[in-house]
Amino acid sequence: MNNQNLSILEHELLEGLHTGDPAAFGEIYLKHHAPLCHFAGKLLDDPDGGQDIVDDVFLKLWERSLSYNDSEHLKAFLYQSIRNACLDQLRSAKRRSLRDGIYAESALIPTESYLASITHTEVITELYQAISNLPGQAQKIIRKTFLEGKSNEEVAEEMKLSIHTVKNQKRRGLDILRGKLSGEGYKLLLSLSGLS
Amino acid sequence: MDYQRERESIRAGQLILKELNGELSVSERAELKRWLGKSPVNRRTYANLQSGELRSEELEGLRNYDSTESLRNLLPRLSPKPKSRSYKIYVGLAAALLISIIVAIGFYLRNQHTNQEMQLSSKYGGAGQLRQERHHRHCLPEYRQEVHPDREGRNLRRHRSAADHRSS
Repeated sequence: MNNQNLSILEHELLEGLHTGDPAAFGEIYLKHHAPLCHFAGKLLDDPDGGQDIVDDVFLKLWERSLSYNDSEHLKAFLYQSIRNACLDQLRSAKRRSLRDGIYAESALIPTESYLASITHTEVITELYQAISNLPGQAQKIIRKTFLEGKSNEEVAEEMKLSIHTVKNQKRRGLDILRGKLSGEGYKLLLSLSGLS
Repeated sequence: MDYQRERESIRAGQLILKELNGELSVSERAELKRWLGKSPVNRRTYANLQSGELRSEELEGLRNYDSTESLRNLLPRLSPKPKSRSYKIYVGLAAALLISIIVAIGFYLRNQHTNQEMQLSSKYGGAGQLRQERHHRHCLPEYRQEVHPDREGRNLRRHRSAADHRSS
C-alpha cells in the first residue's frame, strides 16, 4: 500500500470516527490498542496495569466530537490522555500508601521519560505491525522462529507441517518483511533471534 | 491544543525507523540530530533502540494483549453518538421551519385584523369615525359589546341617537 492510499484510508477512518461510525472506531482501536497498553504499562511500571486506562481513553475518544487532522494528531491525543490517566492512578496509589503509613517514592512520570516512551513505542509498534501484517501461516512461523527462538524442526512438529513447508513459509515471510523493513530495520528484526 | 511535544516524539520515532530502514534524507538526518541534541533521555532512547535493548520479549509482549476480545467487551459501552454534522443540519432546519411558521401565523393574524378594520371602516365611513367609536367603547361601559357583528349597526345607531339628543 503506498503512502497516498494509506493517507486516504487514514482520512476515512478519522472522518468515520468524527461522524460516530463504530466500524471506524473499531479499526482505530485494533490498530492502537496493543501498543498503547504497552505504553501505559511502561508508564505504570506494570505491564498489565494499563488496559483499563486504555479502554477509558478510547471511550473518551468516542464521546468527543472533535475531528483529528491526521493520525499523528490522534496519537498525540491518545498518548497524552493515557499519561494523564496514569498520573491520576499513580497519585491515588501514592495517597493510599501515605494513608496506610507506607512511604511511597515520588515516582510520578517525568516529562522526559514520558516523551521518550512515545518515541520507543512508535518504533516497537512499527516492527510489531510489520510482523502482524504477514499472511497467517508465514506470520506464525516467523513469530515462532524469530521471537520465540524455536528451530524449524520444533515449529514443524508443533504446527504439524513438513519441514519443507516451514522453510518455504519462513522464506516468504522474510521476503515480505525485507520489503517493509529495508536496511537496519530488517537486520534489527533478525537480530532479535541472533540470526543476523 | 496542539500537542507539540507529543508530535515531536512521534516524529522522532518515525525518523529512527527511517534511519533503521536506510531511508533517511539529509534534512531528516539533521532533524534527528537536533532531537538527539535536546536531551540525554533522547540519546539514551535512541541508543537503546539501536543496540539490542529492543528485546524479542517486548515485541512478543504486545501479543499478550487480546485487542479483539477487548474491543468486543468495549463496544456495548459506547453511548449512541449523534452524527454531529447531520444533527446540526437537522436542528438548523427545524429552527428555520419553526420561525417560518411563527412569522406566517403572525402575518395571517395581522391581515385578518386589518381586514376586519377595513370592513368596519368602509361600513361606518372611514377610519376617523371608527377611532371615534373605539373611544366611546372604551369610555362607556354600555358600548363594550358593540363589536359583535350583528350588534354593530344597532349599537352605533344607539350611539348616534344619544349624541343627537345631547346636541339638541
